[in-house]
Amino acid sequence: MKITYFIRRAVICLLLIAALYILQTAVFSHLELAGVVPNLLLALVALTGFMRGRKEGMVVGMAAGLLLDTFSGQLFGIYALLFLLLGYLNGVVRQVFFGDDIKLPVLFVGLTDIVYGICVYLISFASRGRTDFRFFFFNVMLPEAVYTIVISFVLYPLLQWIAGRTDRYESKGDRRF
Amino acid sequence: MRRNKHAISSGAVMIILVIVCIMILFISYISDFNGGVIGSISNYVFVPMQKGLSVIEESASLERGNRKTIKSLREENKKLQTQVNDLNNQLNTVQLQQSELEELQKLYSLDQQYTDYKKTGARVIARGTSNWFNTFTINKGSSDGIKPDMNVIADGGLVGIVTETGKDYAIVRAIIDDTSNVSAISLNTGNICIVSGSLEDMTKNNTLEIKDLEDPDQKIASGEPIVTSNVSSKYLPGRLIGYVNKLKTDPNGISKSGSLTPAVDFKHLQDVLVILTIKESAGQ
Repeated sequence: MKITYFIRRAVICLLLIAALYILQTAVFSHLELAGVVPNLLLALVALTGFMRGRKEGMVVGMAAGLLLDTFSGQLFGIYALLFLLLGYLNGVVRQVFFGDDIKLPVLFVGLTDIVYGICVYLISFASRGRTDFRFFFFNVMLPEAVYTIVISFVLYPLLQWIAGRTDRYESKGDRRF
Repeated sequence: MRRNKHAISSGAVMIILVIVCIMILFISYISDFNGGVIGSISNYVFVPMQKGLSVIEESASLERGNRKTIKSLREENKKLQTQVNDLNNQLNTVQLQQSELEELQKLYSLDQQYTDYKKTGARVIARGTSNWFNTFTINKGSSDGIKPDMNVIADGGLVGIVTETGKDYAIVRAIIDDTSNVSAISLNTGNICIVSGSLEDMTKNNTLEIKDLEDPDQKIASGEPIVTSNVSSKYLPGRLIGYVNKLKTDPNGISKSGSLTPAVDFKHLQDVLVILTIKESAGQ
């Protein structure tokens, strides 16, 4: 019972990562707003961390990061590490704030996106002498966070619905929490 | 928190996964590891889907094209007709110069190899893995003979360079990417410079950076075409990058820097050509 539940969850997570990746690179890349594309995979990682806790946040983050690494042409493994830590942080946040309100997790998606932006800026821009932080904050990080927040208002209920469906099979027996 | 007795603590899981990630980073840093298994899985899962979506997008843009009215088509035709006449005139002069050049090249016994390289057409199937970097995926890979360091062009201008290849896909880094540097030369005056991508300039003015341009005679004006130079290690010579936009003298008083308008419309890039010759092998 436990194993089938685990496998089902893993398959669902992989399908979600794949679907959101395709959406982000082949659909939303044509729906740029203010020059940015929403970071769907990051929203998935943050929301998973928030809804499911640290472990699942980390695993989903690492999986999504590895996929991005494959197609980004940067140093392989950097997104995996970054997304893993962001998934973990959102898992920690979940223990501190927990509620049914949609505004809270969505707000944390935005914050996570800003943290992610600052990390990317420090790793690959500031280190090469691109010192205009204000510009990058207002033209890349903030628009991306806002766009991702908007998408998360749809993504979060969807993830909750999916989680509800998978947990229902399990509710007769052993519940996770 | 959990009732499972065998559960490992999240902290331990994190440390293990972080170590794994750092190991992957280290391996990819010292070798050319770029995904291995994940790359080949993605090749069969994502690439076909992205290809499918790009076909849908193409038919959608064709549909949009069909809706152009006859009137606008006529106007466009008129404009193009005058342009054809202009170009014909230009062509005549160029042909004269070309024959002269050929004679001179014969005298110098130079190969003309940089005029006709073998190319293959490819389609952009995915982009936007990040708002920070300008890389995209094309629908041809190692099975079509594409290798890293091949140059990618479109609309007569330089687009970028292949950085990684999978079986049926390749990743291209555009010249507008913040980490891109191309050594270049001004077409008419022959001054060497560096053209760098800049996310900031691209967002603000749709331009690239020109650096270290030595122009002691003040000959370069805006509109001067900038092409890839012979000294570049990876880019084939003579590829149009763009046109000088603005220039100003550096504080050192010797070199100039400024901005360059790219020849390629990167926002609406759909079809590209990959040059199947790599610089190193082109040298002989």
